[in-house]
Amino acid sequence: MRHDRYILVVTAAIIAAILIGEVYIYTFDGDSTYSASTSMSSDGAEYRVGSGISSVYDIVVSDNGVFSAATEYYVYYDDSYADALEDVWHATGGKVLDQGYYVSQMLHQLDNRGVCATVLNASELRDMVLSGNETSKALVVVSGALPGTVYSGNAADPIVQWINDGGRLYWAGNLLGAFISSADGIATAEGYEELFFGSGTLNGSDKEKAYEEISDNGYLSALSLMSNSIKYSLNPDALSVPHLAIGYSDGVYSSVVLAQYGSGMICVVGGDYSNNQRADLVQIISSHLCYRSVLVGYDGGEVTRGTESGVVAVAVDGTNRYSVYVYFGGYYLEYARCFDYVGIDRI
Amino acid sequence: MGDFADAGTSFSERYAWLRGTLFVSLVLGIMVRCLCIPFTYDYDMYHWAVIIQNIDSGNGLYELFGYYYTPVWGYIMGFIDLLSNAFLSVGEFGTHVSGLLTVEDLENMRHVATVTSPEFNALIKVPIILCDLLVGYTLYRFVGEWTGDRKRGELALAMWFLCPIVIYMSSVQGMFDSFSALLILLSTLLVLRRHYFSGGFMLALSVLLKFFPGAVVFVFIGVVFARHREDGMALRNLALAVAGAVLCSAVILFPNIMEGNVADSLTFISDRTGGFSLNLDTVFSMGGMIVTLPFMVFMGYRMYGTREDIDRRFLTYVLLVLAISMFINMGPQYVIVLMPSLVILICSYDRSYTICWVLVGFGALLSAFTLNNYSLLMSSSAYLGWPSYDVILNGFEWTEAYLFGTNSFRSMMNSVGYAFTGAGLILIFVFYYEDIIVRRHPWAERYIEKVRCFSFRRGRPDET
Repeated sequence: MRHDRYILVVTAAIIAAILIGEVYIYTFDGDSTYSASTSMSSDGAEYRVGSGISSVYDIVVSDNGVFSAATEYYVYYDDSYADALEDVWHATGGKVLDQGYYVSQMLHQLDNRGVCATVLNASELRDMVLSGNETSKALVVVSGALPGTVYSGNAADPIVQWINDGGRLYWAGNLLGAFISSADGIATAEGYEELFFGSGTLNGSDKEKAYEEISDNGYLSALSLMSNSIKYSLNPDALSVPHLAIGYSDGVYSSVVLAQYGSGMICVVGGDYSNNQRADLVQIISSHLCYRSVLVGYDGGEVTRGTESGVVAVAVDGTNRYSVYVYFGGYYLEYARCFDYVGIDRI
Repeated sequence: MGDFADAGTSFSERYAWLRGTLFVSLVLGIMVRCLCIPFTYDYDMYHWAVIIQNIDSGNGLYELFGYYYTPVWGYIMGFIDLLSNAFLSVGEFGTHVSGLLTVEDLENMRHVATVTSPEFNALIKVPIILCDLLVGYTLYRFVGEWTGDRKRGELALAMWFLCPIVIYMSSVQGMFDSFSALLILLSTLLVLRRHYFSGGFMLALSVLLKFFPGAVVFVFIGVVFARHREDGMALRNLALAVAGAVLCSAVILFPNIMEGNVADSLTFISDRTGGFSLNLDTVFSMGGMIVTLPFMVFMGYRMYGTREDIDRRFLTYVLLVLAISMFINMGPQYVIVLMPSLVILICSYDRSYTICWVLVGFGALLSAFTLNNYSLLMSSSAYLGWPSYDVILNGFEWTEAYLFGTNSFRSMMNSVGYAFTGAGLILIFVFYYEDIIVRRHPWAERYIEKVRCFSFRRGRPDET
């Protein structure tokens, strides 16, 4: 009987622990667990962070010159249109990392960083790029190909004009502009390299990985970037426009390059689909980085069931735009928010 | 501990318990585990950190990538996370190490350059070690009471707690198979004690943690009928067990049902069984299933037909079906789920099975150790500065280099480990069916007895 009681007690305790864990998981609320607020002054970026658990935090202050951050975010995804993606390895037992899953993951990750993105199909994408207000919009394309509704490989195409007029394009999955997709399949765009940054700027070789840190601008560690894939990526030294290369380099291609295009910007994140690539992509989007960005201040620490505050010393230029990106969790990001300023005035 | 207040009792008599199996096993087992904690398999631990990250970002288990199992392990991690968030200070889960990037390019094994911190490693491993203790203590109590001999209970604890693969998985690789062993052990004991509702509940819980415990279903059904053949309560008790299992499944899968992602919780199984491609792994798995599934049903039928010594047969058949299920997918960590049953058999009925314990325990350890390879040093290298990255990268280079064909040192040692493990599992069946084997092949008796004699005691069953 005593042993019966022991077994029943242990059984009940195990079940209770498991059920408590289940309830905890599905009642956990990030918005009430984490808090972040910032302000700019002549001393720099003042911050106050709070966590109801134990979290490491990072404060990344960037001087973005006169380049404004987008306020509307769009993701192109149309499963009725072909994509130009290579097969990717996936973990045994895990879901296949196809475009639909990649996009769904990206939306959740952007949401954790305070970015609410709208998914557009091929037709809606055309409507968006023709609706104006380009400088406030960002578009993420991870299909490896642009749909025929906005692109045919010509400078007069709606999407090319949209970027030129101020739109921000974030690109991953294949060579920039190389492919035009339709419901029937994929076609190659002639002269795609010259259309964007010129011949020889894109990595069409079999070089896939880079191992040298790009450490001169500090963003690799400041933003906790992880991907070292350079397949399809840009050669920053071959660019004739202002640009920012971050992440990893093999001496020629860089894993992430943000480059000016007309009044807008194109950001190319190298590699076939991977979780690290996507983590870097959403981090760059959420931190409002641009091709002009300079890391002017950084702070970090750990906050445990309370708040921490501090000042990141920055020499503030009243006409420049700044982004103060606060994120919790380091390489295992749990929550983030970005605050934008013109001088010391919050936008 | 008995009375030792007698003034005439010597020190060694008063403190004889210090030399006892129980104390030595506990101290030795805990010491070894503590020493092993700094060494971690990067890939699995990275994913545990991703899971905690997803919980702490409010995304649950399946919204973001990283969790590939049915929910129970996730809920256990949720409980660990709750305790950590409430009482501890484990802020940094890990860091990305540029100097180790090339490990992600290895062809045949999966590694990540994002290594976990020592604090995080301990956060995950300590609960698994506590689970080891709980299983050990449960075996100690059960075997001691079942046999009426406390010394046998102590031996049971020692055999479990000092089992090489159990130590390795909890304190090095950080795998949760001890929880799987705990749940199937509890469900077995509950059914043994005629607690059918809770037994069914725990069986479902164990299957929703890892699939292997599902192998015992037919034996469980058989024992209910065997026990209640005369009193007409078989169907009622079976219904109780089924009700417990259904309730458990409903409670555990409730969030998935509400969110419509039950399929996501089963990708670990569907991914391994879907998308057929002909290779050695597939052939082995398919062959394993062709043999094991009929055997499981057969053992259920034998259990149903048992009229004498029902409890002993039940405990033995549970071991046999768990052992046969290992041939569907032989991974070094999976054998842990059958260890409690094997230990019960050894300590209660037949110590000659100890050779099986040795072969399975050490064979699985060898496989796991070689599979994890130099990655065990990555966390220590990144956070404690030892060893250097070059030692690790050079280590991977020589262990992963092809020696002949596509065989590397690592793959060959892994095969040796699997061979020992497989031999240990096969021996379980050879010993159990010795009478049948010897009847058909009398010459085999000499060899089987020689193998039995490798164990701690010579002789046939019950000569203990």
